[in-house]
Amino acid sequence: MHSATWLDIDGSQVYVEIAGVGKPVFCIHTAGQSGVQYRRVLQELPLHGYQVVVVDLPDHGRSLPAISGPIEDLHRYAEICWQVIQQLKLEDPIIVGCSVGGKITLDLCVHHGESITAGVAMEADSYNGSLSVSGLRRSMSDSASPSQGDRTYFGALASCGTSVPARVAEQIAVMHRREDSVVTSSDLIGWTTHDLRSDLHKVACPLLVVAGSEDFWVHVDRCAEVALLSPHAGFILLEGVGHYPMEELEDFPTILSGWLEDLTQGRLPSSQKQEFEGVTDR
Amino acid sequence: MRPYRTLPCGRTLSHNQSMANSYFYEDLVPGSEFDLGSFFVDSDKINAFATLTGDNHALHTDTDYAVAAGFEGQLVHGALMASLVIGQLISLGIFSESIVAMKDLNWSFKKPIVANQLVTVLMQITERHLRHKGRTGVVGRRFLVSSQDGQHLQEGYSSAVVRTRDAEGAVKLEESTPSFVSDAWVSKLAQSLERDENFIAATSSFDGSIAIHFGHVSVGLRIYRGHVIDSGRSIVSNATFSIAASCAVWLDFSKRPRNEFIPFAMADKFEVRGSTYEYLRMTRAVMAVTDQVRVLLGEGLMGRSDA
Repeated sequence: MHSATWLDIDGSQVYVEIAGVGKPVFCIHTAGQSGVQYRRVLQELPLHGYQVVVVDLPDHGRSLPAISGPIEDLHRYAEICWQVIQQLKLEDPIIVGCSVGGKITLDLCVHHGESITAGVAMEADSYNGSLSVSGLRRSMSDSASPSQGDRTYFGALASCGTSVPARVAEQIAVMHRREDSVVTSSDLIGWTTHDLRSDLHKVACPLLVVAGSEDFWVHVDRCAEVALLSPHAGFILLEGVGHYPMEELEDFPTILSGWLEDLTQGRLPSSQKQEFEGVTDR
Repeated sequence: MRPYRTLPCGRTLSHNQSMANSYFYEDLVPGSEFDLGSFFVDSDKINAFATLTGDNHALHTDTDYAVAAGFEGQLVHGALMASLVIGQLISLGIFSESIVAMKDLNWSFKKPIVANQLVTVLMQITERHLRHKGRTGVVGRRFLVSSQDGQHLQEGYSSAVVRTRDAEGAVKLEESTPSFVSDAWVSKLAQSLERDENFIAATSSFDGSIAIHFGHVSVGLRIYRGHVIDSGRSIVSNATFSIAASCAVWLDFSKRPRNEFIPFAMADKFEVRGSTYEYLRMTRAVMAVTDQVRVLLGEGLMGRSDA
């Protein structure tokens, strides 16, 4: 069964798609994008016995804008996701997210970990202050920031790993060109200001941290550090993969299914630094 | 003669081995790399350098002081390491028969090096151009000093005047295959862009000029609605915008399997001057320019992974 609906959240309407029956797996997309990034997960993960729930964050995809304007705070996104989970009565869900979605996953694991079965945080560190907030605010105005479409397209192309077939990278880049730059910039302000460095010890659920070896947005070591600082966490390095594992890896639903099986049965890959360096686990 | 040669590691600087076959201008192709071996600097050398130069700060001469200051041991002077790398070049004989003069030396110290720490040195040829009717040429050399776990500790650059083996042959070779980054090479780049459909389409709304800097060598393109109406150095100074990087960065960029200009720019490896608005507006044109640089460098470089 595959269904979709809009939920009333904070005076706006948030779009969710639901497929399958079983343990709920709640998926969160990257900056400026939508749940379409998890289309294959929606189609294939239910075959492994999971209920997949994919959200479009406010202002993204088929969700309506947030009442107070584009959101710049990833914790607020996390609390909106938690409201979605509660409205849908998802019991002890698994949370999966990438990039800002990965950071939102970490935020949920910090603040609601006791009610979460496990988290899978892809391409997310605990703090990433690499972007200029004032520059991002400037980029919200076309008059100050031209060729957003071209820059987003070429940036997304370069964000894919070199193992990704050219046709897949091209599709990812073309999909990124659809973004509203105001929304993406707001998300990126959230990305660069969100800080969980002193909170990771509060993660109360098993956590799997996943990083592509060729993601220039976040350093592999900073992702691995998240696993080291969280109480029950493991780390997996994806060789030749960039910033969008769920889109770059054509067999991602099967890979995710393997991760979830390990997580739910208490098996976590080691987070020791000397072991994750150079190790590939796909 | 092989353009790439791995020299045995583990030698110390006390060795004074001369290689019979020195490298000449023709052998020093931009992009080629030379393993200069591994060595360490002991306390005696550090103390001797401190005495000789007067730089006897306790960080260099007192292990306990250096450790208390947060380092793992007695610090090797940055200038000492630079000198030792040049000494290693001499002891290996790479330029022993071809060197005329060292023109300059720049060194940056990224992480501390302490006494008895084993380091590995790699030399990369970054650019070259002929002079004096082919009798000599100037060759750019980049030095990377790394720890045993691959961390970059120091990076240096030095250009040198070296002899050619055969002046007439070197001129002919340069005419047929201009070296990165000679005047002929940047002219070839400008001509390639004039014919590049992607560049023409990307500049169809542009009335201005773009300058590209490769280290100390620059080229300017005067463009009117998709047509390169003039090119050369005279256009550089008042370009609408310019893109600049060292030859070493252009080499690193061109050895990647695909165009990674945006990640490089986000990491501030390229410098943009002039109108940033026009630079951003011309993103597609910048990608076309950098694509073309990669094509030309791929034709004449050693070590390009997909070339």
